[in-house]
Amino acid sequence: MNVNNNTIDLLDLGEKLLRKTEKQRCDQLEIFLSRETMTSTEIEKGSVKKGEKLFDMGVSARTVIGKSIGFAYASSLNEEDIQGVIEEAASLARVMTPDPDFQSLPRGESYPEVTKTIDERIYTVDVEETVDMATRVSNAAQVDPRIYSINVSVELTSLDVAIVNNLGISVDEKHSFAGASANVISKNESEMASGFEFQEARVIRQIDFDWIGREAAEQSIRSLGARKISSGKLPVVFGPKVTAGILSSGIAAASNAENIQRKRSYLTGKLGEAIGNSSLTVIDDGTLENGLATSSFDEEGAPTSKTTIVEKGILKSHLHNSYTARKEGVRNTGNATRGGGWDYRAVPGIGHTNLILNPGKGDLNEFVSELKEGLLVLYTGDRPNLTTGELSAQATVGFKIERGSVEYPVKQAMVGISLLELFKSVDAIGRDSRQISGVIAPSMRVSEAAISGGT
Amino acid sequence: MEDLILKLAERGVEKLGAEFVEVRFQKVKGTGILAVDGVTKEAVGSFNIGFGIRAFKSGAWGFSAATAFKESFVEEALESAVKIAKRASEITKERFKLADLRGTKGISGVPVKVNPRDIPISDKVKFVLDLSSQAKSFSSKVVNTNIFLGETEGYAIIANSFGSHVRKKVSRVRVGATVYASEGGLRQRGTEVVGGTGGYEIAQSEAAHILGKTAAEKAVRLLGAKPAPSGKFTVVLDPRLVGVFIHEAFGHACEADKVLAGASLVEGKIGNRMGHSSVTIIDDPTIGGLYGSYSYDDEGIASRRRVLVQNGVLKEYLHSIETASRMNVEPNGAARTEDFMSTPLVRMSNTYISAGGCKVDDVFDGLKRGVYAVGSEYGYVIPATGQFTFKCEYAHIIKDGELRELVRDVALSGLIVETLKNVEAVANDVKFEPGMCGKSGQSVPISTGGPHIRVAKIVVGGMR
Repeated sequence: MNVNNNTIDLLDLGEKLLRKTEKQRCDQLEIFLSRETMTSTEIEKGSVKKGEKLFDMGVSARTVIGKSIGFAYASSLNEEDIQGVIEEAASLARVMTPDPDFQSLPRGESYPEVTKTIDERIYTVDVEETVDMATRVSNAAQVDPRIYSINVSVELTSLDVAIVNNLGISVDEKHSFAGASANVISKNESEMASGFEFQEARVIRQIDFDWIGREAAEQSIRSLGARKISSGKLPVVFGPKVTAGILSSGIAAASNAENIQRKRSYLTGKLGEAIGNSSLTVIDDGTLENGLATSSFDEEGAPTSKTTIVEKGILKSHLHNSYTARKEGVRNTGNATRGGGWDYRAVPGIGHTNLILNPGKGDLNEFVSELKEGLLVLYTGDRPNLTTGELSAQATVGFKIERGSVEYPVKQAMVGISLLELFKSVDAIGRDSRQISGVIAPSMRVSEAAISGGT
Repeated sequence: MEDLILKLAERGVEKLGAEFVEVRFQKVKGTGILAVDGVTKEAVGSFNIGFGIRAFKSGAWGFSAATAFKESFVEEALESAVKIAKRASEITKERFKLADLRGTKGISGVPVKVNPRDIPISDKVKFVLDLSSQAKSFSSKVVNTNIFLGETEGYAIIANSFGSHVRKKVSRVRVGATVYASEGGLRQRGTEVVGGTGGYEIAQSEAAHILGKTAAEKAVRLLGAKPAPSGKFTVVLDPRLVGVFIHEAFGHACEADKVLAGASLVEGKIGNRMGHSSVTIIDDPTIGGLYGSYSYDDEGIASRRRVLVQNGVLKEYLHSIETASRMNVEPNGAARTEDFMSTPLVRMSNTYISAGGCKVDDVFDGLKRGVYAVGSEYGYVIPATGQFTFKCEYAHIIKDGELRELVRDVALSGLIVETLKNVEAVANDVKFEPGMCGKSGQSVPISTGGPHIRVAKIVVGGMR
């Protein structure tokens, strides 16, 4: 199907419209174009429920008049719609107040060489093939008669982007992504418990469909028979998914220069200071070989780079886009993002690329075996509070540790600790890292946190 | 174009062999202005246009959608959707039919007193800047102000092979203020929102015009808050928290797609007691002007009021055409989509606990020791078990019926049915607040509400 206008070269189209509109009265102009296809299948309660083929193409324009900026987008790549978008962005720029901190959109420069595999199969894949993948996940989850409901989703995405501006930026790139997830519910006589697992990669063959199904199923079976625990102070072992959430909000978002400059982050004013012990090193690397967030340019066309945010516990750098870097007169780290990633509907902001917690020694099982008593948290929906730097997280999937082993699942237990305390009291960082939504995170243990039980 | 849309739905069934076909087209324009620290930081003009075609065959769906609209695209998308449905239906295990419904025909509008397009953009800019300076000048402790004004306006066309043909207008306005205050190394945030379906009159309301001040006041006041205690307490929840709580912890469980997926704690519980007899839970898209209101859902079914729980007893689920067919009831107009790129899901609209018999003061009276929990930062729930966690904006310790010290970073957790059974008092002061609700990657406008309620034995998690 040619719904997607696959024949259009996005970079050519962007260049053409840039040339056409330079006569208009705006000082700087940026055009962002993208074309995405999504092929997906959902399995509900063990049965194929829905297949989808989506084509999302669109354009956005940023215009600068003096120090005033306008932005507009359209879900279309028709030339007249693009021209309409540029005109609307310009008319908004005309009435906006000048932003004294704004200096310029990024200029064209040289880009790092990056290695990222494109899975060409994702560009042409049929919905039928995703049905087969989802069925594999579902079948692998049938591990126990107590499994009550298996819900699976498989999604393959191809993405072409182009960015041009009248300061010399003219770049384009292709991406492919594959993802699969399973949500499995088990049931005994008296209660239900759920387990959730997922994987994301750039190529289909790196997804282990069987593992996802099996792991989600086993997690849900292990969570049956949950008990309340009493309140007190205990060592806590965090699984990779929890570590990823803590790092993504507690380090990356908290060192986002926009949040720092606006004094929204608990890390404001702490550059050069110790925010954790010497085992803590966190790096943002947009050039990481085959990382999920790897690209040679960021989402406003500036080069990506490798930035050490925290080195041996010391806060070393913030994450910048062109606006915040010029405002402070520092190097642009190449962390501009649009929404959840390359979204033409979103105004450029700042986000992490591949966020890496440097691995240490050991793994989750070792960390558990070394504890007389403790709490193991494998999943929480909670994120730390960016402003206060406090973490108050429900152990959604959590287990009581006794005498070096996982004893029983817990319910209603909450972990409370400030992030600065947490990073200081980390006494183990594993080498069992996983790639979770662009965060490469291992298991991690803190020597003590306040536990609020359900009793 | 509308003729083409109608013909496509018929053709998908008659010529291509689908059992049901639905075509949706949408065209929505919008403007959003964000001022940060008294400077317009973002001005966004949006234009969303596109279509989605859904085909059904014996238990399986095929969906194809694309941005923009071209006749040749639409034909191809129809063929693709039907092909996917046929293929999926060959291997699906759970086969079912859709009930043969009568088609709906209708055109619906939204009462708009002041068309947002008639207000010059420079006036809107002035409005957000005025709110910014109002917040900033409230106190020298205010360190960051964020004021947002957003509006969307457009229409959607929904047609299906039952013969339905609905054209509905969409018009919403929202104003938000988020203000940060700082003192002695401590930072706190205050957020306030006003929004509804309608026109620019929403931004011209009294509540919208003092939004900067109310958000700043909250942030500054929180600077004096102490960390929260932990343990089990009798808790009084304010209307904003009650709304978010009932939406997240109970409303989602009443979505019939969750019930059918085996992921809801209220599965098979219609007619059962789910809470104290003082608790009545309503989801009502027909209340005029609220942010989650609509006349037809995105499957073209006319909306109506839904009583989820009456006097503590579970009465009905929220339904789409599919879930109603599978559970052998009439659809009740709860199928909604974020836009043309996504398929209808069972969703809430304006969800609230309805007014009880006592006054607000009575809810606090006689409470020796407790917690007054206000507002919601966020919350989440595991629908299968009903285990919930809510972060409140702030709380007060209650002693002998009086509000005492202000506390921050308060989280409430528990099991929903246990909690609803522990409701001790429901006041008569129902209030609503606009919000956005996310499910399966789709976000739709909703509102949540309720009166003050008192609940025994809630787990409060704090930092000390």
